[in-house]
Parts: sequence; C-alpha cells; structure tokens
Amino acid sequence: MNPRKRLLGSLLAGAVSLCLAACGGPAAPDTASPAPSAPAASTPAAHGKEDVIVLAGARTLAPGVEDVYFSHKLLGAWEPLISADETGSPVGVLAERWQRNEDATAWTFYLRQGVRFQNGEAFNADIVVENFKRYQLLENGYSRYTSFRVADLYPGLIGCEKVDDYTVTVRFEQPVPRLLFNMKDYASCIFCPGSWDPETGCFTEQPVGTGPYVITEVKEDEYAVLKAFDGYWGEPAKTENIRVRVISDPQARYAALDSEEVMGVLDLGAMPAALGDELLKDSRFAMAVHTSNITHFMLLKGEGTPFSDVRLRQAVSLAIDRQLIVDQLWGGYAKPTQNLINRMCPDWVELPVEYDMDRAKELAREVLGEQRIQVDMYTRSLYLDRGPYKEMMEYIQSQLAQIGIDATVNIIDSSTYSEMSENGELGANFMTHGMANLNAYLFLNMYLGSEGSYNQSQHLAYHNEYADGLLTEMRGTLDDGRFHALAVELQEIANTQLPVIPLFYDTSNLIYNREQITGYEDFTDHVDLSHLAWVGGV
Amino acid sequence: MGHILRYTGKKLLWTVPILLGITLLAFGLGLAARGDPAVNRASVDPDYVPTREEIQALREALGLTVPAPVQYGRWMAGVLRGDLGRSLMDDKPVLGEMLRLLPNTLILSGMALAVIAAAGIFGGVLLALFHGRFVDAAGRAVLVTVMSVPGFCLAYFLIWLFAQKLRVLPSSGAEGPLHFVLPCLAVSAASACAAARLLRASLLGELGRNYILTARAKGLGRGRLLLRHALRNALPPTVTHIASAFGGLLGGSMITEQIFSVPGIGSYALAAIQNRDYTALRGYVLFTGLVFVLVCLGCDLLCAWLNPQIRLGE
Repeated sequence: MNPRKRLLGSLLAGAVSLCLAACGGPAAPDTASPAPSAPAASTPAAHGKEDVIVLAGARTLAPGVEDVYFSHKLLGAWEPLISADETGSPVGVLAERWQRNEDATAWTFYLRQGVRFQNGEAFNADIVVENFKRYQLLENGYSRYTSFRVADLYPGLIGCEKVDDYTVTVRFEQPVPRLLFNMKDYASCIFCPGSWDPETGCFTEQPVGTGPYVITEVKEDEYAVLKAFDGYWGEPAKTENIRVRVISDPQARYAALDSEEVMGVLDLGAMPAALGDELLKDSRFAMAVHTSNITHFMLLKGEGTPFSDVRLRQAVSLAIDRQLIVDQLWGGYAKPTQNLINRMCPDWVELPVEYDMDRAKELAREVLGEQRIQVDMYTRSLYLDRGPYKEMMEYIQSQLAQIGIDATVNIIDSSTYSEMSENGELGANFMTHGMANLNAYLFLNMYLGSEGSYNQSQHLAYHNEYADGLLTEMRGTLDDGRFHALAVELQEIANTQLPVIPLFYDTSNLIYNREQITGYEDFTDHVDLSHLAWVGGV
Repeated sequence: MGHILRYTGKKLLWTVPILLGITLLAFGLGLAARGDPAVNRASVDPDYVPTREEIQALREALGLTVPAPVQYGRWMAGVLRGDLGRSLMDDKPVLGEMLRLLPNTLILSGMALAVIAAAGIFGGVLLALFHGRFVDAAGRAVLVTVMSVPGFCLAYFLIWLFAQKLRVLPSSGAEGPLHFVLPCLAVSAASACAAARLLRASLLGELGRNYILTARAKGLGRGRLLLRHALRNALPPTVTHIASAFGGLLGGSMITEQIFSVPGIGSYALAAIQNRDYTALRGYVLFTGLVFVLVCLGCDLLCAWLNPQIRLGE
C-alpha cells in the first residue's frame, strides 16, 4: 500500500479511536440519572428504593484522606461526641451526657450505648480513647473546612482515659470551662480506629463512622455517593441513595436545578439571592432559609489612620443603611446587625441597629473638619459568587462620600488579599466570619482583645483596657451565669466602640424542588440529609 | 524519510531549551506575583490567624526560604527523576493530580478536535462551493457572529438552550459522555468558525491557480475540483490552526471547565494560580509546554505529508 495512504489510514483510525474514546468516557451512573428529565407532573411520581436524590454544592464535600475529617459533617458519614442544638447550646450525639469536676480540669463523658460503626464494630470507651490519641497526634491537622488545632480545641490536654466500657474522662492541665463549645461537631469527630497512621494520625484509607450514611463512592471534585446505613442507631435515613455533585459555578447550579438534573442545593453560598429569587418565580421550587453562623463585616484599618477615632467608626456605621442592603441586595433574607457575635450563639443579645446620616455627618465633621480622606476598600473575589458584594461596596462608597470619605472599590484574589492584609495595606476590608464553635469568648477576644488575633492581623488597633479585663475574667470563669453577663457587656461595648463594623447576619438559602423532595425545611444550621425524602414516598 | 527523522530529532532537541525557558519564566513570574503560598496554606481556617512564626516555619518546611535558583534546581532535579514535586497547598503529588485530571481534559479536547476539524473543513468547503452566493454571505455572517461571542457567554447560552429549555443535554459535570457535549461545543465553536473561514479563503486562493484552470478546462466539475484537487493544497494553514487550537485545549480550558464543572488540567492550573501554588503551576507549565511542542511537531509532519512541496527544516 502507498505509504501516504497508510498514513492517512492510520490518522483516520486514530481520529475514530479518539472520538470513540471520547464517547466511551467514564460510565454514566446507572441509577443517578443525571440526564435531563421531563418536567415534573403535578402528581408526584412513585419512587423506587434504588432511586437517587441528586443534590449539588459549590465545593467538594468529601475531599479524601488528606483531610483530617475525610468528609464534611453535612454528608452524615461520621458523628461527633458533641454538637449544638438550635439555640446554639451543646447537645450530645455520641456522648449522652457529661459532667465536669469543680475546676473544669476533668470532664467525664457517658457514651451512647448500642451504637455500631458502619463496618459493624461496636462503639465504646476504647474507641473514644483511641480517637483522643489521634487528636493528640494531629496537633495541627489540615482540612478544607476547619483545621484541627489541638492546642486551641483541647488546651493543656493530658489525655483521655477509660472509666468503664461506656464512660471516659478527659483531663487537662488547666481549667477548660467552655470545653463543650470547643468540642462541637468537627472537634470531637469519632472514627473507627485502623484507618489512620498510628504515627501521624492522618488517614491512610477511607475512615468508617457511625453516621446515617455510608460514603460508597467518591470522585474527587465531581461527586460523592451516599447509601443509607441500615444499622444506624438513631432514626433511619428516609432515603436510601443520595448523590452530591460538585457544581462550582452558581449559574450552572441554577441551570441544573431548573433542568431538574439536581433536586436541591446545599452548603455555603449554595444559591446567590438574585438567582434564588429567579427560581422562586417557578412554582416547582421552594427556599428553605436556615440561620447561619456567618456574619458579614466591614473592617476599618485603625493603625495610623483617622479610624482609630471611635467617632469616625461610629460615623461610618451610622451612614450605612443595613436594612436597605439586606432588602435590596440580599433579597430580604439576611438580618441587619450591629452585634459582633452571631445570633446562633447562646450568649447573643439583640442590640439596636442604627442608620442616621445626619448624625454620621456630624460625627465625621467633628473628626475630619472640612477635610476629606481617602480609603481603599477591598474584598476577595471569591465573595462575588456568594452575593452582590461589589454592589454593596459601591452603595457604601456612595454613603461614605456624604460624610467626607472618598472610597475606592477593589476586588482582589485571596492570595493578594492575604499579603496585603498582613502588610496592613487594606484601608477597609469586607469579609465574612463564621462563628464555628459558638464560644462567645473566642470570638469577642479575636476582635476586642488588645492581643486578639483579628485585632492584630487586620491592624484594627483597638485597645480598651476595661474590655481586656472583662475578657480575662470571661476566659477563666467557671460560672455560666457570670460568663453570660460578661458576654452581654462585651457585646454592648463592641456595639458602641465598633472595633469592626458588623453589617448583617447571613442566612443559608437552600433552594429545592418541592415537587420532588421534602425535608429541607426541618433544620437550622444546615440540612440533615437523613431527613430528605421523595414527595409521595418510596 | 531520512530528512523527516532528522527534522523530528532536531525539533525534539529544541524542546529541551524551550521547556527550560518556559519553566524558568513560570518560576520567575511566580516569584514576582503578590501572595505567599505559606500564608495561604496557614490561613485555611478562618477562625485562626496564623502567627508570623508559624508562617515562617511553614515557609521553611515548604522549602520557600532557600534561594530561588536552589529551589528551581531542586525542582528540576526532581523532574529529571519523573517527580514534579508536591502541591504547596495540600501536599498531593503534582504528577498524580495531573494524571487524575488528564482523562477529562483528553476527552474534552479530543471531542473538541473532532468538532473543529469536521465543522471547520465542512464549513470551509461549503462556503467556497457557494462562493458569492447567499449561503456564502449568510455563512460568513454566522461565523463572524459566533467568533465574536465571548466563550463564557456562549457556554451560558448553550446551557440555557440545551439543558434548561430543550432538556436534551446535562448542564454540567463529567459523569458520562453526554456531559462533555456542551463544554465541547463551547470550547470548539470559535476555533471551528475560524478554521472554516481560513479554509474558505485558502480554497478560493487555490481555485484561481493555473492547475485548477487546466483541470476546469478539461471539464471537471466545481465540486470535484474543490475536493479532489484544491482541498489538499489548501489544507496546511487550516491544519496548523486546528493543531494550535488542539494544543491549547490539551492545556485545559480554565473558564469552560469552571463553568461546566469539569475537573481538568485547566481548573487545576486556575486553583494553583489562585493559591500561588508554584509547584503545581510549574508542573502544569511543563506539561502544556511539552504538549504544544509535540503538537506543533505533529502538525509540521502532517503538513509536509499533505503538501510535499513543503520542505521540513529547510
């Protein structure tokens, strides 16, 4: 055969193989049926046990063995000893009850009996002891969600010892009165021993938990497949199979919901308010609005700037109409606030939110006179996917212009942000901060304490000796009543002194297809997947 | 045959300094860019602000405190052993991660190559065949319109049309062959249009040449003239264009992968840039550089075969 013809033949064969390879890529899931379906009929279709509820989130919820928790708590694969109820108070999960000694240096946990891991092994005190040994090994465990810092979560931890088969005592070198808050969720995750390296505590294989769902398949950055654990100790999951997809682009999540490829969205920033409102025009969709531990803040650099004067900070705060921001930009779902700590914290008190432009101008004039100052305002580009941050900053820019502050709006990537932040180059900084463990002391100290981590790192230059004294007392007090009183007083100080300017409390707005699934409305902090069910049942 | 081998060998030898150059450039850009991978890694937990000492310790652990030439030298030594290093963010091996993500990129770029080649050649021939008539004018208008639409707009339009309205294709993901159709159309549309325009122009140029006039004088029809005689001579510029597009696609399509949630090489590079993960970025640059050099070499050989008048390397 002519060599050219042979080459042509080879090329054609190559092209055909390439096309075939492309078309024969990863096998389509047999039951997930991600392919589009016809519009839902008005009467709910009956679903078989093998049918899969498909959900979508913006980020991966099962990062794998590199993560100290392997998967996000939301997936329900593992459970902690302690969690929090809807008021933010500690509630037992694998620990049924607890007691501490007088100086809070020894905490005894009475464990739930009759619990089995997903591999059939029984949960008992020996397992908890092994998990505490793992905590000590981790020291500073990496996670995409919240890192595991033993020194912060369990300060002065001596160890965990078995008292009997279902009782353990955790001992500390120093009093840890708010231990239960520290232990919330991630910090007291329990896994069946054997899945981690005994030298480092890092996972070497997929760990086994006690949760209502077993993670049967993970394709990194694509999806996680969950199957109900039939030996679960609590209320059994209402749906046998769930697939959680990663759809990073908000517009694509919107399209996937609209085309009924997915039945609901979940996790942080699941659906920006504007897109959510658009979907809600369609009667198929409903929104479950859950309270969130996230607060949106404006931080003003105080170090070497006129913002070290409390009157100018107050002027900025008074010039911002938070209600307008919430109503016009966040679809009315958020809640305006001037309080430093989140409303999910049990020590939270409601404080007034003020908008008074005349008073703002007066205060600014007292500080600045007729002079105008310039401020460069920054936020990270990642926030643009979560809400109309740029529009909010532009609104604030226009308000600040009225009180003699000429602000610029700048969107930067996270790396640049981190460096500029460290160097004190951010004149004003818009950010969110979640109150992960609801311990009021930790959060108040970050911003109000002279040595507080955010006070220092964000160059707030806030210093109040009286507040420092209250924080010191708060850290050591064993009296819950006194702790609460101190928390309230410090919130009031923060409300007037404004080391940072809180804007509003976020909500987690989860859109779901109400013609297909139920169970999205039941919870506060987040959806409990075990409550999801098909409309019309199985 | 001998000159082809010599040419190939010479080209492959040139690959070494080219790759050295681009990795050096990537390394230099990384040093010049703002942001510190150690700060990024230490700041994963929003509830914890790392101390300067912790960040410094992390810098040392990641090998970022040694002089830049030493860092580069160590990395290159690893490359020669087949080790592209570990990610500065999560310690995962760069090569392993790229190999994990490569199948999605290969599928997407393979499908896109097929679409660009088929649509480009078919469109170009069709327009040349109907030169000066309505089909030609309307076709060119469509091509220019599609080429003018930014890729991300086209991506959202395709999602709206095929997933939301017609419900015939999934809107995102990489779970099966159908999931790749929309991203493939989004990444290939502009290149296919450009290929069609290029081929049309080349074909029209060929049609005015003497050998075509001779063939026409012998009574050959326009269609046969185009397909049997002009096309082969008109193809090399289009092949070069398609090859460049394919090389680019193999390097990943960051925006398309992001919009359609296709985890591929492009999204890996995007995350590396965002996190200032220089090790991952250098691995990516090395890979795409190598791919480009090899695709260009393949393209040169194909053009030489299509048109033997082209003398490789002369």
